[in-house]
Amino acid sequence: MVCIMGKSGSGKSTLLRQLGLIDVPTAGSVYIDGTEVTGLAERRRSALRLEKLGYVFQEYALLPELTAEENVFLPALMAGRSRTECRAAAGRLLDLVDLADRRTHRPNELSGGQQQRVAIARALVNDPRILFADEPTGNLDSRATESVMTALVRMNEDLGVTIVFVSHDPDHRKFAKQLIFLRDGSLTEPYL
Amino acid sequence: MQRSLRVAWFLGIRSITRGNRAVLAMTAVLMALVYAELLFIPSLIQGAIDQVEGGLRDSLTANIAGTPTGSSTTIDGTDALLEHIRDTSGVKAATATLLAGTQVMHGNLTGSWSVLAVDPDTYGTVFTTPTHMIEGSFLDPADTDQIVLGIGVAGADRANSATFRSSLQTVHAGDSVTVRLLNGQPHDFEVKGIFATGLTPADQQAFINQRAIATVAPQLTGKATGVFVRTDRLGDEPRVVERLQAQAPSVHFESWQGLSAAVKAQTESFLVIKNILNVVSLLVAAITVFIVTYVDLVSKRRTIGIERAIGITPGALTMSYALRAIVFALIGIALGAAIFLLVIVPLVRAHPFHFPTGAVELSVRGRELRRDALILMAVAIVGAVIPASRSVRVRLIEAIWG
Repeated sequence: MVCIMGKSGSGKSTLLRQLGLIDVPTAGSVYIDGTEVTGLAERRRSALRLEKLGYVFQEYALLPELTAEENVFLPALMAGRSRTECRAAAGRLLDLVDLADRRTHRPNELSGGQQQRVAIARALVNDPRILFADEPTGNLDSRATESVMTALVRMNEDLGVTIVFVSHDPDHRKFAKQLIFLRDGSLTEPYL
Repeated sequence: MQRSLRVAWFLGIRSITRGNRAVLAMTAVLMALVYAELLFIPSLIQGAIDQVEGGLRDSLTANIAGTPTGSSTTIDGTDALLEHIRDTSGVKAATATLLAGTQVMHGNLTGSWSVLAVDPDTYGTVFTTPTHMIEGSFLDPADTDQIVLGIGVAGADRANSATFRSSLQTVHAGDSVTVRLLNGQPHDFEVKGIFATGLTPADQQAFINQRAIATVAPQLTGKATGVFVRTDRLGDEPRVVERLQAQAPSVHFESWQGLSAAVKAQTESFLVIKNILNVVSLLVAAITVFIVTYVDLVSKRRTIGIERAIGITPGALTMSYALRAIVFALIGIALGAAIFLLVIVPLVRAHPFHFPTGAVELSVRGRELRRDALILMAVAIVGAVIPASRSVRVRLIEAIWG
């Protein structure tokens, strides 16, 4: 687990969006598995996001018209898996984030922490190698924060997924095996 | 493509079943009204066309008309010819007419109209004119000094209408009129009845019994200037014309469509109006779907950004909007067809529109119902795809974070 830390405006989220192929850098390059992806066409970037990367937004970002289970299996459906496989994968992941009993609930029927855990499950449904999480607990109280961070650790340990998350909470250092500090858009020396 | 289609179906159906019901209902109702409107005016115009064409067949041309060929002005051996015609497959009835005079006088008023000598027994089997009497009755086989006038000839005190201004104006059943026959002799007839078919050229005719001609112009006995045929089925005319032509090469047979030049300009004008109104209705449908889709896209800008961020392709998202448009259109078409067929058509049948040519009902054809449904669906898809395909290609960073 890699944690990106830094003050507000230091560029943490911007860096994560570049790495997660959500945004295109104006300068520099992004490599994934040794392959440069900076100049890829949107179609190819979309395929990479679907197949190799997972992304968790600070604001939960679930689709309001879908249930928790449907939110989770939608990327799997796009990846071409059968409806049965999709449901099975979604059920397994919701179980891992302790939401097996909430699979038919719509986002507005879930708490903030529960929504964020559904978002984590969704980000992992296509078995990505890397999961990016942009301040995943930024809008949560301490109890919900604990449940979300526990879910991320479990994913890292049980599924072997690399997790890169942004946080400004010093307490989150304990979850990371590697820390990256940003200041004014640059990595600070001691941590490079 | 198949993956995108599956996802589009999934998202489209969820959006319809779990989205805003009021928007769905409003859009479906708007589409229904557009579809009903798309059907209404053309059906009314088609009804007017059918009415004019039906009137033409029923009172002027029949299904098939036969006229002399070459320099001859009459058809000889009419009785034998009619027997042959009646025995022809596809023929229901036949009759012959002879142009007996062209001038009718009453008091100091005179005018030129076709005075036709007919066989009262068979005329009514081909034409419906005898059923349109507004005064008196049609000719009987025994009548020889009687005449039946169209309202356009008699006037019957309706001279205040522009249509009857050039008529004899005040002639009623029981009055006497003088007809100058083609041999130049004037002959007095008692007006036995007056008819009004609603079709102006038909109402400019007058009829006498062919037996009257036998007494005043015996040289015209057995001759006709036209033979008219009622077919068993509408639409069979070309085949029956071929059969008749083979039997009687000295007569030129033509179907009513070929003889409808008198009303062709009228029906073509109706068709132009019909097409213009169709285009306007379809534009309304396209704009309706465009606005509904556009408003939805604007309100779901962030959702679309998230969908794109998790790997849903722009194609899948666009298709989901196209699918929604298809569902809107299908519901609208079903609702519109129900309103039109179960409410509007019966209502107009009970209270028809009164055109100068007569009472007009709505004429609905299955082919047009299907064609308009397909066009409406295509227009709805285009109306949804244009804004959707533009909106789903927005930069993710802008869509999600503004």
